[in-house]
Amino acid sequence: MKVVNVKLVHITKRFEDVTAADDVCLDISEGQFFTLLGPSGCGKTTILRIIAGFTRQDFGDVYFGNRIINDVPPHKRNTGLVFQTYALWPHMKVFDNVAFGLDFRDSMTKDEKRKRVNETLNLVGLEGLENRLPSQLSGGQQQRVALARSLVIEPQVLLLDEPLSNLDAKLRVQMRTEIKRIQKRLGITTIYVTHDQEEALSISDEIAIINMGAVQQIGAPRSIYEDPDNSFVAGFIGLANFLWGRILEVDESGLTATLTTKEGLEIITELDPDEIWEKGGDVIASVRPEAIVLHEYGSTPSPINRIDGSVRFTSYLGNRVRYEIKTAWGDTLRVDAYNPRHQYVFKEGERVSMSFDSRDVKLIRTE
Amino acid sequence: MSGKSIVGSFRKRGAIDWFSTVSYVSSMLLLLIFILAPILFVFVGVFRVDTGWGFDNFFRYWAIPSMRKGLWNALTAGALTTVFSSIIGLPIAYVMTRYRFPAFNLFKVLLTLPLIMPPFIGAFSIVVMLGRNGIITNLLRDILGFQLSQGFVSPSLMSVVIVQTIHLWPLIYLNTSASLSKIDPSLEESARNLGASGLKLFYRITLPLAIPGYIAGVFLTFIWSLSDIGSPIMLSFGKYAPSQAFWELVRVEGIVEFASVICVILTLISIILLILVNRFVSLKEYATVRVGAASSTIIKQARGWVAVGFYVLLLLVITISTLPHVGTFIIAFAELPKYGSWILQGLNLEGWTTVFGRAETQHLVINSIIYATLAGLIDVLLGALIGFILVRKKFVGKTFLDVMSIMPLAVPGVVIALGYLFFFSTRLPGTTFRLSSFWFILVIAYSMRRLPYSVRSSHAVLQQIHVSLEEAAQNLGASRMWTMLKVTIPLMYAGLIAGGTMSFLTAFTEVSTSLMVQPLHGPLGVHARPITLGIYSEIQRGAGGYAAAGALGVIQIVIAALCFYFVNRVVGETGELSIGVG
Repeated sequence: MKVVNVKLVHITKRFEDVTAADDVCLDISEGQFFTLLGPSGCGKTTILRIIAGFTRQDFGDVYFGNRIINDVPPHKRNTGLVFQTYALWPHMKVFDNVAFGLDFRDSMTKDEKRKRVNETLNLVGLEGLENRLPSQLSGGQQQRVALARSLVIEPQVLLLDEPLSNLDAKLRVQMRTEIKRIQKRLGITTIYVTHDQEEALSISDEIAIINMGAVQQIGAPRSIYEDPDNSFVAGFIGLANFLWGRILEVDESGLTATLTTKEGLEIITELDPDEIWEKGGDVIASVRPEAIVLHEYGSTPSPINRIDGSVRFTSYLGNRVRYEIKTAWGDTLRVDAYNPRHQYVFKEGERVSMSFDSRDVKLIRTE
Repeated sequence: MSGKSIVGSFRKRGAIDWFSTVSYVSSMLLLLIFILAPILFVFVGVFRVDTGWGFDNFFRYWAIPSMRKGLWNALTAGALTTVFSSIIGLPIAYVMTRYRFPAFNLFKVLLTLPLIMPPFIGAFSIVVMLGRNGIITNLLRDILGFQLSQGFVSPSLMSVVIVQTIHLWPLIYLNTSASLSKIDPSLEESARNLGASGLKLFYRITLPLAIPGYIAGVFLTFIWSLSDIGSPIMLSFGKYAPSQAFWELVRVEGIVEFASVICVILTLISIILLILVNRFVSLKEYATVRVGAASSTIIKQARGWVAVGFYVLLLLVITISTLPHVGTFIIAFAELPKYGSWILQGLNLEGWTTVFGRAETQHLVINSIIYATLAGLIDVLLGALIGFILVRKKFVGKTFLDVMSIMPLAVPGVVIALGYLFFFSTRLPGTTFRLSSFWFILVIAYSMRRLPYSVRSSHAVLQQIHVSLEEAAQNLGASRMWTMLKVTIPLMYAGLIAGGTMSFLTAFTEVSTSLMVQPLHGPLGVHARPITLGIYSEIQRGAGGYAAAGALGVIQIVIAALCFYFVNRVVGETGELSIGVG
């Protein structure tokens, strides 16, 4: 199987008044599991369709390896696209659905074809269902047929367009591990589109966050979550509490800074050594709900990074309790307390104090 | 089946639903009396002979070579018409569903015009245009030196096929495009993604997916051709089974039993066909795998030479298939050319003065409007009721009701006409009254012939209206009646109006029953004849009646065009027209 890297250079696509792709640059290396993640309508599917050749970009180039493929029609691109709706042909049996693409590849004998189709069906765990019609399969099985159909042609790139969105929650988790396992085994360059952040974080080597057609951040799951570049990413991936403020001072080492929020609160934060922050700059301090610890009112261990408030809302979620805490200045902060089994659960209306580690404050420049 | 079990089976789904029970019982009775009984009457009657019961009528029929020939001709014409209609209809269906170009909507309307060809006069005007002494035949001879001694159409089987193809090809086009436009674009995109393109993509993916619609079109075309009485008569082509059935009825020394034999054979052929269609195209399996539709990215804008090619194709087809309409207008308004010439002799409004000058001919138009309006109303009401209980209710005999309601579709019109003629001309027990002498029998016949379409369309609409929409209304406190009135019917509204109009239209141009069942009393008095019969007898009068027949034909075309316009306005882009068998 010839595996290639995929490069998108300044891809732009407008539909009437909507910009579906806004100067998108992506560099996806060979064998990588790359995910396009964003809210619905952000343009991620358009980017995938541009790669598959079904939508023509207005500007920019698409590379497979060193070759520009802008003018290559879809049927010559040798990509394997798995559709959100599976798009299985209802008039063909499972076997014929999967074997279809082989008819347009190097001449193979009937036996070779049969062997290849059966191998692929085994790979996705569908042995014995060759003679069923798609309508006789469950949703999960249909999904596997769609995957097998795209894999059997040994595509240079595997493209998956929200492949799991029509499955129920349990099956979704099972299938995504399955997809990852198969992808790893074949070592195939894979581009995956989803709006489900948990899905994206769990299976991707790298993620590109897309909003309004533009790439917001590219990075490994961990760096996307822990080091969001802007407030959109911080707010879209997981939850984040934002505190708007200004840098009061940066210490000599450049590793800690003190800032004051609009409300006059003082926050101490550790800084990323790669980034340079200027005194007096406007910033957003982002703190994840799970980084905040709740205490009885007034009983925080240290006066640093402490905020007082009162519980507005408590929701018990099994593995954690989510609180909405109203601060003195009227904002709402969200706080997660994990493993509530042995903890005191604060009641609505109770006054509390919150604290967080200076390492858990992530600074974001305001745009 | 006892009344108790019917109510009982309704009760399972909640409280006693008198509304459904009444709809069920009444529609069952209506269909039994007005669909099943007349057809069965013909079937039973054909076995009755002097000595009791037997197959004698069949043997006598079969012994006459011209009768055998007539049957063979009808089947051949059906097959050939279907083939030619496919050759025209399929490419046009593809172009019209996959491309857009300037004046697209105009073409869309023009392409359905052939179906509203007025009976008799339409075929007759083809002879006037393309016959041995036809206007176009002579014109081509004089201008291009193009000599055709027999003209384009003559009393031959091939000419019957030409006339039928001109009339019927839109059935293939419309049904195939209905299927084509429903194909989820991702089904074709995934094939392209895997390497298919061009013709291979077309015949491996697109065509198989459009097969259900295409086969439906083929079936309708064949059945329609098999019940065509008019064109063979107008072409003076005698050996054609449906026309033979008609002749045996009206000829003084005709053999009435032969009409029955022909009808029974035609019915059996169409039932066998219907079974084959159902066996080879398992329609249900096609319908299921559809999660949701992607964007319609497969509709392309035609440009340059491609667009020019489309225009040439469409204009050619439209020009040929509107010949009957153009011809009808010429006959209605112009003094026809002298023998051997193509130059019209000037304006001639005699036809119009004839039509509007006599009460008898005035009544033709008024009668038909009354008949067709009532038939349309009956279809809307009965179609909605039957569709509703078929979709929403479970009850004993559901399949039976379903089959009965679809039967007129599978049975050639001439069979129903004969059934009505025989069955309803028996005196009602204890009286001297025959139902067939009362004009309302035509209304019933018209509405029953079109009923399958209105049942199917409300069936389809109701299946798309999720039951939760009705349940939501009931949950908020609306009664069943109120729910039906405020939720279900408004949602079905466009479909019902469109269906009713199309019923009106088919009734207005219906041939078989209009010709065979001739009531004695009309709604306005003694004249009960519908417009179709008027056209027929005007043409039969010879040259003196042509103009009047033309005028009546023009009235039919104009009213039909208004109906089409109206339906298009109501149903709009999203809806589908089900255009049916006349």
